[in-house]
Amino acid sequence: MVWEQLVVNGIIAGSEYALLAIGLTLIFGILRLIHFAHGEVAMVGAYTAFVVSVILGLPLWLGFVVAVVVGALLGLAINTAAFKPLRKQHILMPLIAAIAMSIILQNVIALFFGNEIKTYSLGPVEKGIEMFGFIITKTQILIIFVAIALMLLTWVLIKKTRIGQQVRAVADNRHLAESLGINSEKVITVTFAYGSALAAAGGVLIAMETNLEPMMGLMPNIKAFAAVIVGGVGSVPGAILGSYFIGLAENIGIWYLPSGYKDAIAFFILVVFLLFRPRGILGKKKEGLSQ
Amino acid sequence: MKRTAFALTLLLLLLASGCVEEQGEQSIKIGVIEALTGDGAQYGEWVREGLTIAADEINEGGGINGRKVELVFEDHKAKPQEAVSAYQKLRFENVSIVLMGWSSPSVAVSPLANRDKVILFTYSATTPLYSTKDDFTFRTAVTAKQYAKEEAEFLFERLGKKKVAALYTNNDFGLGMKNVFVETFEGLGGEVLIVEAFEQESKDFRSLITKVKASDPEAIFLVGQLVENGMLVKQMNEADFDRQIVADVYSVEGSDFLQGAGNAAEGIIYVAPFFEENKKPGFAARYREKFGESPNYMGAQAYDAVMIVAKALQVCPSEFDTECIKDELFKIKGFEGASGILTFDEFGDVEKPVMFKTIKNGEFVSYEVPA
Repeated sequence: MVWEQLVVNGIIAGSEYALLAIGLTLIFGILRLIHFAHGEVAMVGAYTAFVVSVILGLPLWLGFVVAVVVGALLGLAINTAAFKPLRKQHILMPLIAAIAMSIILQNVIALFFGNEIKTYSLGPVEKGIEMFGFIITKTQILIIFVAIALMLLTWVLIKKTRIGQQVRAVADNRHLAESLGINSEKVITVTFAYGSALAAAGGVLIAMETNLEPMMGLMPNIKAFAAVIVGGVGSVPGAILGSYFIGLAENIGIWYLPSGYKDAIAFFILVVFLLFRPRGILGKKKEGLSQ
Repeated sequence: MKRTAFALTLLLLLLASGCVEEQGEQSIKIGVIEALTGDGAQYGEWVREGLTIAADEINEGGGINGRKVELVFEDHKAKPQEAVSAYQKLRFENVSIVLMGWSSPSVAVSPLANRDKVILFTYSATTPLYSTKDDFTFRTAVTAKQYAKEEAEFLFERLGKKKVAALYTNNDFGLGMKNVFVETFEGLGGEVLIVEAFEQESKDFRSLITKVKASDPEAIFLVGQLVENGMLVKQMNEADFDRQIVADVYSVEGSDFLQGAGNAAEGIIYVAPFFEENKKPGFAARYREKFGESPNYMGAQAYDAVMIVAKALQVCPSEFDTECIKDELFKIKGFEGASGILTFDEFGDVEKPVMFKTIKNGEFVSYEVPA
């Protein structure tokens, strides 16, 4: 009873982290950039769905679709405005730009929607469904299924399509890929749009489960970042594995530890990996930081 | 070079003398450090409104000894480290009276205020750590010693619950309340089965709930911020874990809590200061006129902090003579504030009557003992 519940809790948390982690790891793979504003893309996605479903009164699924589109466009805008002009600069410059974007987005949203929390008025709080010894809500089931569907989609895109092949090529060695005629800027653009769309989808799902406020993207993005490191930077399956690993470790860990240590567990794992296995679970032996 | 230096010195001297001359007409600056953004922003909004009403009232009435009051707001985002830098910024602006909210931020600033001889007033911190004898720190809020004790007695004596779980937010507010609660409840002969903390701004309480549910308590003592608690209560309901929750006014009374908890908020019982609008009808009327809503306990406590400082300031030569203000504050007995009658004890704390309230059809109403 307790164990089944803890494992399910871990899977729910892992699914939320994974939606952000996939975009983070893809972007890191091609640009060697930690996208600190990725959580804010998720946050803007959540607010987009809020505008569509609560302010305009349209169905939430439509809000989800619009959020994904807006997320992709926002990703493109961030890339064009903050990262593209800094492409040839020192690696720290785009990092600072990402932090700046994150602060700007938080404040712009706070300006328009205020700092107080919002919810998608999904009706009265319902008791979860009891099955196989655990309790789960419909929203949580949806989160898990959407996350798995988007993971499969990502896998197909990366492995089976031409653009996916190009993404892998650029991630592997950008200069070599360019010399073979791949337009690396186009690949970067596509990656940003796709990764950001996934983040926006994640943002809507997290907001459905909890609530909306301008800082909502911060913690999930930090967790997703930890998942990326643990899974192996640049690796999509690694990011997914890392997400579930951290989600499960946190939720099972607090059965033994006081609940206040929940976030500490994720960071403890992160530190252990950085010390003893910096390339992560699935990372390649020589991680391409040496461009 | 020499000439430039001379000119600069002259300029500085001029500026300095200008400052001295102007001081008589300058407004009295009162610093405010509060959570204006982040999860705690709703408290900050109430505080800002209550303080604004107080400043308006003073300024429209001709100010303090002819000088206007100016509020200087700084944001601590509910974090002690931000509070310390906000305090330093205010000191840089030569502010000698600081009002602030939240337990951890207030505890972080209080040693600095005592060192600098700055009058520090909290209108919302409950932590016992803030109570230090005969110094520059004061408060208009009911302390944890009173709130949590009342909650423990209520659970044990009035509801007859003997085995409970205690859930608290991991900051000085939660910790102070939890400690007093556990001590009192166990002193009465009750048993606290499990004590669990959660981080400020947490959103995922599923496994914490799994753990608490497994210990099977009869009731739950809860202390935390509105947003977290809303999420926690909602997730408890989703996990089919339905127990009587007893909390305090900070933990549940606000729309941010109802937004999260929804219908799961119904029936929660909480301790609150005995706040009656008609104690100070002028305050409530002004508040409604300006902000279009009725004031609550927080607005009233913030309002009282300004008004009581203003009273002390009327006697003292200037706002920089903080020794005088401090002594005057301790002398004030039975100050009729919007949040009740205030008399500071030797720690600069107040004791006020409290009451129990509950949530019924999404409204905060006084709790009636079921017949």
